[in-house]
Amino acid sequence: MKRRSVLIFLTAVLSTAAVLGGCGDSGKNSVKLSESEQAAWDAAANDPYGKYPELVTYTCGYNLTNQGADTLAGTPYESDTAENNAYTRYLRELLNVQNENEFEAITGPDYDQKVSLCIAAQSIPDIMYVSDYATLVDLVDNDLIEDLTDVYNNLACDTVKASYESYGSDNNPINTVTFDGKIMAIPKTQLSDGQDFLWVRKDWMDNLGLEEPKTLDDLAELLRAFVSQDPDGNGKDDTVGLAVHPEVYGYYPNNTFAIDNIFTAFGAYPFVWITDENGKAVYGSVQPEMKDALALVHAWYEEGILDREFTSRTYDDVVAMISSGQCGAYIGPWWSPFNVAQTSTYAAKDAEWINISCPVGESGKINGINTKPYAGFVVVRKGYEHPEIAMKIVNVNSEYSKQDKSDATKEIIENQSIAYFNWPLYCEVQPGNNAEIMTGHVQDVLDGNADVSSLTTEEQSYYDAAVRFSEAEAAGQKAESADYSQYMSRVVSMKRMIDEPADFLTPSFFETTETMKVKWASLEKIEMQTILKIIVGEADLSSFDTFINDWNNAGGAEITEEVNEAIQK
Amino acid sequence: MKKMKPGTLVSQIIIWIVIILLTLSCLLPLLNMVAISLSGSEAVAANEVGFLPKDLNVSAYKKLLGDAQFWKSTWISVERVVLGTLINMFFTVTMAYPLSKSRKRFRAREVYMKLVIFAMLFTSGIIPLFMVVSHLHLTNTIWALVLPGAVPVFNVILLINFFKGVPEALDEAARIDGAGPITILLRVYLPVSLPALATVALFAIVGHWNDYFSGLIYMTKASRYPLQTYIQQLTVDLTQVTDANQLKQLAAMNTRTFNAAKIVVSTIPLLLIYPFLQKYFVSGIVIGAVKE
Repeated sequence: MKRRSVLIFLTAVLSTAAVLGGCGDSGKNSVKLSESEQAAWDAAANDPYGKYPELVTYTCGYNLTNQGADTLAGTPYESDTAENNAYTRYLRELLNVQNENEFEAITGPDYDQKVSLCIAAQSIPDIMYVSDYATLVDLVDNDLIEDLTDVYNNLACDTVKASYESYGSDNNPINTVTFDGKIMAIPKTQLSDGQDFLWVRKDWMDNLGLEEPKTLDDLAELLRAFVSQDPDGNGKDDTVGLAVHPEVYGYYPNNTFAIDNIFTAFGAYPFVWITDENGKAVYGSVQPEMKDALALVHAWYEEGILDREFTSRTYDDVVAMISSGQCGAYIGPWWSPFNVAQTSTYAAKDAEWINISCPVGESGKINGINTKPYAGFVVVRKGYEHPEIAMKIVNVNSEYSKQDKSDATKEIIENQSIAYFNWPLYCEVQPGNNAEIMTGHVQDVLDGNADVSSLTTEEQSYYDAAVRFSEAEAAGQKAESADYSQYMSRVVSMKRMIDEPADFLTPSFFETTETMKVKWASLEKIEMQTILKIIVGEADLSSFDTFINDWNNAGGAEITEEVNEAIQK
Repeated sequence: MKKMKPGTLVSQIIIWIVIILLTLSCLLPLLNMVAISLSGSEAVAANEVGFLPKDLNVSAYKKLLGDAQFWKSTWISVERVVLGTLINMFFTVTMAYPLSKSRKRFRAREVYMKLVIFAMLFTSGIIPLFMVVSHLHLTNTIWALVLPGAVPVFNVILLINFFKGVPEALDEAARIDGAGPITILLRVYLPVSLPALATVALFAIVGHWNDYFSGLIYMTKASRYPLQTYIQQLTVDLTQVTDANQLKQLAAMNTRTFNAAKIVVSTIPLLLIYPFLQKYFVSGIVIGAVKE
């Protein structure tokens, strides 16, 4: 009796397991292809834009954006999904490939977490994007990804190859993904983000009859006037000088409101690894040049020409302060017009923002810091039978879709302008100065030196925004904020970037080392505390020397060694 | 009515002030959220909105109600709360009842208790948990949201302690009348434990409704996200732009009014549930059940 119930129980468990497990491998159908069919498949696999004879479905990790579904509501694309949207339909039409998303998540920590989960579970999708170098190394070490050397050599389109080469032979992103002579991933390029500018409210400068500043002293003059002479003309002493990011500096030039430029004007390069005169890599934040810069920032803080409350403000607070019309000067990248601080003041306060190359270093130019040439990597699962699909999609992303002027690409652009973005593979390969090149083309058309048809689809969208902006302004109206942002960044601010180039320093090291994983967070904390204390005057400038010591003892010296070793490799 | 002693009066005033301050600290942020959701976006960006809307407009709500994913996610959340709470309650009650009995009547009690407490103190990391769920092929199904947390250990212990407080005499009386353990649980213990059950149910409901993390981990398709995960995705920090490709996201970043509307709408169900459960929060039902 007892035996029988055990049997029944076992049967039940096993059948449940069979039902649940039923969704596993259903076995490869090993249909023999005829010679002509095989030839068609081979031809498709060896052509950068070859279309497969039959639909190929690949699994992938999909980068979502949080401006997703909700922004599509009420547009023709409202029933689009991450597996069926303008771009995936386009790829299906062009290459006969279809993505099946093994996971979807918002670009950033959420996506990275999904990647780590699937690596831990040892089941990675056929093709996926990984955002950091350490993960790539993990994948290579665990032999989970396919060697893409042949795929790259045979199938990368000219635009892709030329774009990688434009970074120079030392800085070529392909170097980063080459392990023992094998190309293990397709790197996504990181455009040079250019230098930070001083963004100033021109309407305030005009009210006070001020000239464009250039040096640090000019900047101090301008800020002094902004603080004391009531630039907004409301009869109240309510204006703040220079806005400052609560973290002061870092992530050049992407941290809007960070004041790295003031430091680099002194030849100090905080937050990055630089090469000293002996050719050794050293950490910029612990170099003696920092002291002069800190002395000046402290003096400005004392005088009140930079925001006296910056230590207690969050990023959102800074945006709110500028949006409310209290502040008319900050340091930010060329795309700052996209920031709410500008769009809202443009619409509601009649603000007129301009970007100025200030403060300049000894050479009379802004001292900028280069970003790394690669941003992420596309990898292919080891053993996947169509590894070339990854390369072909990157080709389409980087070249084909830009030159194709069919209705399908128009649909993509329109779709993207509503909900950025819908690529199954988050990877585009562009030359480092692509933003400048595109603006050059748009400018040519605006000046009447070239025809609209010469523009790529992406450039065309910038041109259209510029036209809409000018038309609205000419009619005495405020342009749509999206058009304002696009025109001001792509045309106005970018023009300065091209006309007034900066001196760029390329950091000697971008990645993390073993000890960094453990100790970097606390080192950054010591650094930030010291810097803030010195700026607000809680600590003396001489405490910077103590900080250098503390930093070295707390692991900084060890990490510096590791960094130098890593560079030697 | 008697006149209060001065000392009592002072302490009453202090108690009231503390209660009012506590209430305000809960209420004001919510009011601020409501005001933001009803204001114009420029006023919001400039932090000009306090507890009253400025440039009143309801466009955020209009947009929200037109968003298909919002409704889908809401439905998944409702499904999860109903199913999850039922499962939680079943396991909580059936586990707490035997464990509340003395060792004389349930000899292996200590072993089970130790297991329960061990499970409460130590949990596995995300990755083992994820692997178990994914190998059972539960990802992307509603079961991934309700099964991993089917036995809320903390609630079980809460209920064990409540059941222990039920007079033993009630149990004995029922047994003398010939009731079996299941009848005793259903007809005697549950009716006298309504306040405790309401509390535990509320914990389960709130827990299921507010949990965004399991949705984020176990749901690999955004279309399967429950409401809180969907909302969490909208408030992801975009302040650090790391490449120029994110420009367009930034352009649309001024969605604080929209997000506030979502938060307000997602809190409404919980606000509605409280008053319904409140009537069960009447203590002292067991008092007077036994005369000794």
